[in-house]
Amino acid sequence: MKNVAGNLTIGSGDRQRVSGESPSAASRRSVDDCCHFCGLPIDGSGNIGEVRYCCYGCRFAASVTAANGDEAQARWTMTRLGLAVFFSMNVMVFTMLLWSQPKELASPLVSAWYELARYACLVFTLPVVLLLGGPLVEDAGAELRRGRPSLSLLLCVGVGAALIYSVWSLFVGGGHVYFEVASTILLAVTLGRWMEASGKLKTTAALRGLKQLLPDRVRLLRASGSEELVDCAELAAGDEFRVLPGERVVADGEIVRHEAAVDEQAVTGESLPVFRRVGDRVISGTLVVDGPLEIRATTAVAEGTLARMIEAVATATAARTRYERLAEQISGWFLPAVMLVAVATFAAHAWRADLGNGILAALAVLVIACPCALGLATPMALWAAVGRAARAGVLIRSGDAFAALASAKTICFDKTGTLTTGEAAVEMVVYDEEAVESEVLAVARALGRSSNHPLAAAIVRYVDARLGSSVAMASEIVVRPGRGIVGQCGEVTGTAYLGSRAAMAEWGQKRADAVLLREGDAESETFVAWGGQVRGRFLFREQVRAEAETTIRLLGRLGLGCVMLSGDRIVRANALARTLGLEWRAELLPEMKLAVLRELQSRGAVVMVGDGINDAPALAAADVGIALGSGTDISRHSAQICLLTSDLGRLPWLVELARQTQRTIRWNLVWAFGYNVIGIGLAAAGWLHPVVAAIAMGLSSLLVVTNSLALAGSDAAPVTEVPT
Amino acid sequence: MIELPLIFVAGILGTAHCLGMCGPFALAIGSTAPGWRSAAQRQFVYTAGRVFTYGVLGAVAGYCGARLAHLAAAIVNIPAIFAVLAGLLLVWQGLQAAGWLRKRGVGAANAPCLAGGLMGQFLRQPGMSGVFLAGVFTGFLPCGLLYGMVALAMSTHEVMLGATTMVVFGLGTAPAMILAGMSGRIMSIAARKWLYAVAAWCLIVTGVVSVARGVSFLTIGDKPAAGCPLCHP
Repeated sequence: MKNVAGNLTIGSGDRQRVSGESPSAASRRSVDDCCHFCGLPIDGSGNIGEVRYCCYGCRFAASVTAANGDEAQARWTMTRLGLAVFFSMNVMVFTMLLWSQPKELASPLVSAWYELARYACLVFTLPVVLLLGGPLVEDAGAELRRGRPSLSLLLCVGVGAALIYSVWSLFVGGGHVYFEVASTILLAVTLGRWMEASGKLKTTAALRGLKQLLPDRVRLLRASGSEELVDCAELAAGDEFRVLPGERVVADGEIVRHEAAVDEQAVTGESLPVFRRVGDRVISGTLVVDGPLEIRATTAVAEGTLARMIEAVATATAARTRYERLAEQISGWFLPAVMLVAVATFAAHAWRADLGNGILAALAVLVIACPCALGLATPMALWAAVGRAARAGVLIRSGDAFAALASAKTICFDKTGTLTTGEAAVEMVVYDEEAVESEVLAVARALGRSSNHPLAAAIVRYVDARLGSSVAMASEIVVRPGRGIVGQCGEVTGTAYLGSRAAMAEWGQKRADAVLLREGDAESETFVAWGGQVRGRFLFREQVRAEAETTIRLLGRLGLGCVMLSGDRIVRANALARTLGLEWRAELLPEMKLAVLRELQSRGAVVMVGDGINDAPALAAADVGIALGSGTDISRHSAQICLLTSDLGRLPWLVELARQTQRTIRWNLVWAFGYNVIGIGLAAAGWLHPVVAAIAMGLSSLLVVTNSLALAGSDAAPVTEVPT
Repeated sequence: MIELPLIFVAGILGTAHCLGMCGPFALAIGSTAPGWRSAAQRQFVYTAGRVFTYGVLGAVAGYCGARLAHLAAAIVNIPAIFAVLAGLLLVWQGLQAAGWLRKRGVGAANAPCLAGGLMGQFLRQPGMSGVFLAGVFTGFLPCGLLYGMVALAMSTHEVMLGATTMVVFGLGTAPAMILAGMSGRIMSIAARKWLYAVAAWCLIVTGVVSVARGVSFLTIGDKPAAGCPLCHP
């Protein structure tokens, strides 16, 4: 148990400071900079209210799925795509006829037949260009207006060149025609990007799922007692509202009437419904199972737990990670480099062979070089993993921290509230010989009620159980940070004290020997005193979390060194650490904890798991800070990862997920990069037909997308116990 | 090409096989039509789309066959090998249809539909272009019978011949599909069972002919057309 010192002292000033120090503030993008269709972040900033898409695929997909609510347009887009497929198939057949044209033709009639096929190619290509070229040109134009060249632009130029050359050779030159290249590339690019966009939409599904937990309307209870269904935005803190069975709670609040079982799984991941009665807090997004509830909102809807949770996840995914920055750096010089290679390829082949060959080879370079897969590699995997974790009640607020978790060598646990439940229980009370038992208990409770310190809470619970509940409170209360509580109680004359051993001496309260027995034991203690005399001593025991031992064992099996950091006395830390089987450091002041962390960091990345309040500095200093049981108040923590429940069993699962994500990201990057380099090499050499390149490009992106989606789909429940 | 009539018959009778998979689409196409005439019109347009795709697949297969034959002409007789493979595939399909071979995995009706999402979009559209495109995409549905036919088209190693093979096959599947789409249940269960059995036999016969042709190509050597007693009457 932590010394009374560290505990009563968290002032609001501290919290402010902590929440201001967001780990990724520097690299944060606002949520507005996200794609209108898939929700993934976009580079650069747009005008406010402007509908933006991250890629051509999303632009297209948005129009297919009538994201803007325009059904007729969606239908037309589909028909357009279908017709383009039909015409391309025609082009294909005639092109293959041309390809299988023998060197010497038997008769002028046969020759005319083949000539006809050349014209047929043109006739069937033009509709494809008209049907699919539009959106591509539009996309290129939109990017160009933003002042940057895009791959769409390069593709437009390439396809245009192939077309013009083919038309020229059909009517004038008499050389090869490449109509099939134009139509197939347009089709492959459109279909491929559309598929990508659908994949991206799936990765963000988890986040959208969270958003859907918030109802649009709320049954507001007017002061007159009437109930009115109003828009959520109208609900303000302090308003009362009613939630019927089967509905979700709109805003955080406190129950004022009725009681019901509440299913919090969607928000905290806790699978069993919990019973909530008058005075209990309920979290937005939770489901009321039975019986109506009337709730007084403590926050507006937009500031509720769920809203902040969504915000936190969105911010995490909007922040660039190390790998993303790498990919971006590469993409930065990628486009100019590709342009150079394409121009050089064109020049070389046009000079060596002919103009047509040059165009074809350059086009192949442009098509294969599409950096889609490269750009998708990291965010896709990360989004999928973050979404998956959110479904299990784990909020990841920083992609970098999540990556560090995968490679961490050591995991440190705070003791109180982390390995133990933080809910101390009074084990025994030692009374002064002259003290009246009920008096001591009543005074302790009256003082303890004014504090939310866990030991004070334990005393209140204990006394309530012994004497029956009472709401009597002390008056003129002064909370002395780190020492205890001072106040006036009705039961006794004069000032009464509740506090630590040191504080008793400071306040001049003498102790009888009987009260001081068992000084070296492994429990924590609190004294109650008045009239210059210590009257009683409460001894507490800590409750170790049921899943702590399994968790430590599983983490050990994952190759992580587990260390317990405690501010508590050595004896107690030792006792606990032995039962759990992990390394420990005790009697650490907050700044000493930091020193230990730094020492451990020399071995590799260090994870700090704490309850998020007392450990704020350590959580911030570690490579990965994981706050436990943050439940209703996620925004005040400095931890990059928040477990909404206090279930330690999520940790091994989370580490596995992080490692899997890391593997996926690396694999994606290696694949995307390798594919581009090899592909460009082949294309520049003229060994890659543009049509093949277009298909390869689509497959590559598809591979990255499905690879990443596997993370989101991993339905394995968080491990709490594995068979040994 | 003595096979063309056989292929047509295989198509006609193979419809029993197709109805399971493509029948629902045909029904859906007909269901939105206001009258008998319009329903028939939609069915014909739908079938045209399907046959078109088969034709293109045949052309592509024919071209690929030609390329392969050209590439590997010196080593092996590719068309012959394809003819044998296609024949074996068709015989296998036939044996399955006749119930002599246990089907593995999920039935055709449950097979993952590659173009399903796309199809649904078109099926819901009121106009004729939607119906036609639905037909076009139906043609791409995975189907064992189709694979056999595509392999057969490949063995023709000519673009036009491949396309013709597949178009004839597609036309063969047309009557029953149109009728099925028009009425839903034009045939009794018993009739369908009987048809199914005949279709199975037809597949087996087509397959055996193809295998025989391929084998004779292989044995007779580089002048297949002249040497094959069954191909050019």
